[in-house]
Amino acid sequence: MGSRYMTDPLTKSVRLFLHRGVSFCDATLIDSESGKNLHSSRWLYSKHKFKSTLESILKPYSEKLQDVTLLDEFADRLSGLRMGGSVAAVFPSGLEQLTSRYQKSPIHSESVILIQPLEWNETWLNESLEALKKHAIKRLAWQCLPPKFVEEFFEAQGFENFLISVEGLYSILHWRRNLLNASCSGPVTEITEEVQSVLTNLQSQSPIHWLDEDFTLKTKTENRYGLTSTWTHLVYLWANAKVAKNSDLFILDWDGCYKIGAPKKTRWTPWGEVIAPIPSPEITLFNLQPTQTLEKNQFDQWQWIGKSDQFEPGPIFLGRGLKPTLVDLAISPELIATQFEVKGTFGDKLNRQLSSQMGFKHQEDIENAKKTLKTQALSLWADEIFHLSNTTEICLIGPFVEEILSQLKTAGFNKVHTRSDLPTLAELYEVQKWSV
Amino acid sequence: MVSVIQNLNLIFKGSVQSSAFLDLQGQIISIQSLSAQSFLSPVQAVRFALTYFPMKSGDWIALNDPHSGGVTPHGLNVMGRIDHLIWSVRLESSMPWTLDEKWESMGHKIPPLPLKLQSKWNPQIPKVFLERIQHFLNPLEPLVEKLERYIRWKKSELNEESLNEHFRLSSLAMKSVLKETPWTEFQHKARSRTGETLSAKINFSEKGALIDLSGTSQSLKLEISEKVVDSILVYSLNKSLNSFNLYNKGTENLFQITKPRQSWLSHNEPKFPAQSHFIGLPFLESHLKQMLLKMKKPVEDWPCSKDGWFQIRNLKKDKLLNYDDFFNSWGQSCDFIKLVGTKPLGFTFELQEECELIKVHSGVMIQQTLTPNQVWEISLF
Repeated sequence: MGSRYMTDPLTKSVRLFLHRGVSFCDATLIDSESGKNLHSSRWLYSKHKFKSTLESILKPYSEKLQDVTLLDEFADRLSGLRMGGSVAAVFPSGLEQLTSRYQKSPIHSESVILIQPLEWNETWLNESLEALKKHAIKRLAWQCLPPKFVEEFFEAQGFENFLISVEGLYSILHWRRNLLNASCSGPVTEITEEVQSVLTNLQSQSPIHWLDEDFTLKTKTENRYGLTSTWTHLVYLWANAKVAKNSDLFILDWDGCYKIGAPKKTRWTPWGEVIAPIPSPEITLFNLQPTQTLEKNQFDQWQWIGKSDQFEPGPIFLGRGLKPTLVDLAISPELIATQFEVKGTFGDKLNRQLSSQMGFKHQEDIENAKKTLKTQALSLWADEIFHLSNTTEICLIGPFVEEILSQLKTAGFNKVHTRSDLPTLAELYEVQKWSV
Repeated sequence: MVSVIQNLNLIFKGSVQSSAFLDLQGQIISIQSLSAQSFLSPVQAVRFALTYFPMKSGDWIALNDPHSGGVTPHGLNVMGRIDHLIWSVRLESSMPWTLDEKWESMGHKIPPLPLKLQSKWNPQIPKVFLERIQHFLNPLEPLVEKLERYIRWKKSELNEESLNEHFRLSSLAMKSVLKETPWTEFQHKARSRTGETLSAKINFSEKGALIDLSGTSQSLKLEISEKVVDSILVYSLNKSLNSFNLYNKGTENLFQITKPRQSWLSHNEPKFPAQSHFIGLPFLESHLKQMLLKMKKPVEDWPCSKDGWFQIRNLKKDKLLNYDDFFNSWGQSCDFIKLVGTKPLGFTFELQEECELIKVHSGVMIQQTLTPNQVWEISLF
């Protein structure tokens, strides 16, 4: 994974771009002056340890490192893992029930909801503190305006306060953002610290920044507007400049399959929509994801409608997974081998799991089922692309493009642009440069 | 194969109120709807139109007469044929309603009318009329174009043989769903604020679901069209059985409805359309929901209380009216409010005493004092 070649002596300083995806991490090193891509690599969290991998990549450049830019997709992952719950919210009296109407999401603060008292007094503070400690709450999203001493009281007790702005009072959109920022604060801090410790190990003093929605660098992402990150916006700009203008963009990657649509003024969060400061492309996840599992439908047929657990434990070919996933069956072993080290016993294990899950006894039945499920998966993917597309010219980007393309031949698209790998962060930087 | 049939409706989903696909005999292939009242509307409209016009490929027919399957003259039903499939949609207008006693004031009543003949606009239709319904047709045209592409693409999976197999499997699956229903018979009685009574009995067996509304009273102030009642009943049952995907030619006959001839639920030309629509329909829907909830099947997102939120507080009497109360128990918990008029997804009212209103509008909460003896209006979206 690490870079074993010598660095170019002409390179004076380098910048590191890190994209923390849902299951994968992308790292790119570029020459600060020329913008030239010096190194790009991608690894799976469950296979390679984040810190040691990053350290081996950075080592040859550690003295020349100018700064680190972080981009993330982790909030999506939090939503899937039902984490991020160490947040409590304080609502104006009588309006707390609004939250239960609007908060149907897995990451919300329903574990503890406090109600703004008529009078901010000691009793309220102590009772609230007890409730918060009982649920191991670390962050408080204030949806009302507390007096300064209340704020300071909780801060002294080690809580992180997230305050709503005065103009945001009684505005659900602001409430959502406040909850989002509070819920994301923990992971943001952890990720920053993780990278910081790698830099400390390498004795580098380089600053770490998060790329914000408006393409400026911040020390923290305190202004989140949605779960998906600036990365998708960068890809959208890149595709418009380099591939095709104003056509629907589909990402068909190991890390997930989704559509990047035209920019919208609002963005989706687990609590509902929020208004974005600058319109950002709309992201629509496919129903069918690469790590989708099988389940029986109402017609008693096996279909790709089971859970998608991403790469934890992951597909069978990676060794630890037990449930056959879509990539195990629909993606050719040659393509899998370009990204992963496949275990030699993969084929046997897949057959074993299929036969025990679906109740087949004969090898022939298993082979038939494999063929049917593969065709079904690819045709469902093609179907999703068709239904999600609003334009007759589309772009398909990612490693699965070749596999799906044959299904889309007769779908009547005027033009299908394809590219079988994702753009590197260096390519994205070329289109939309960001600086400190 | 199953997914192709189910995905047909994806083309229209979100853009229309309800949509359905039928064969040339008017038998349902697949169906979807955002609301209970317009669930069967696209099917009823096609069946009515087919008795007047043999549809050819590329034909489009429009109608909105409640008698022929249109829910109200306020919206429009459009249907057409592509190869051996008929598509049909119900579109709703966003124009406000007035609380009026006549259907005519809600919009033009349109009998079955061929808009397109073999993909060409019917030259006999006056231009002025086409312009009036243009706002319905403009968004529909690209969708139908996309549908044509889809049907051409999936032709081999939409042949007669695979459709028949789909109906057979649906019938088997629906029978097993009905068999698993934990209760055999439900009964429910309720009285509306205008005085009408509802008496419903549902009997589940492997052979089907029998819905009997005998005992429902005659009309006093509310009158709902028979076709809309059928729609609400079938939708509610499918919702509680989670069987929308299974409702088609193969399973339609498993739902049987008995209604008394002379009741407020069997009118073809209801006299008080707006009142009936905004008080009668939520009353019927919510009571069916209450009844079917007892089946302990997961029921989420019921259409009559899904979106929007408001609260009217009478501070003197310490009473509240919530959005949910409005839909679920209209007439029982809001003696301080007098309904004056209705509009789509909203209403106008008068108060006896000063109240406080809290509502959510475009995500922003609005707090407002409402003075008595004045007409106030609430839009829920």
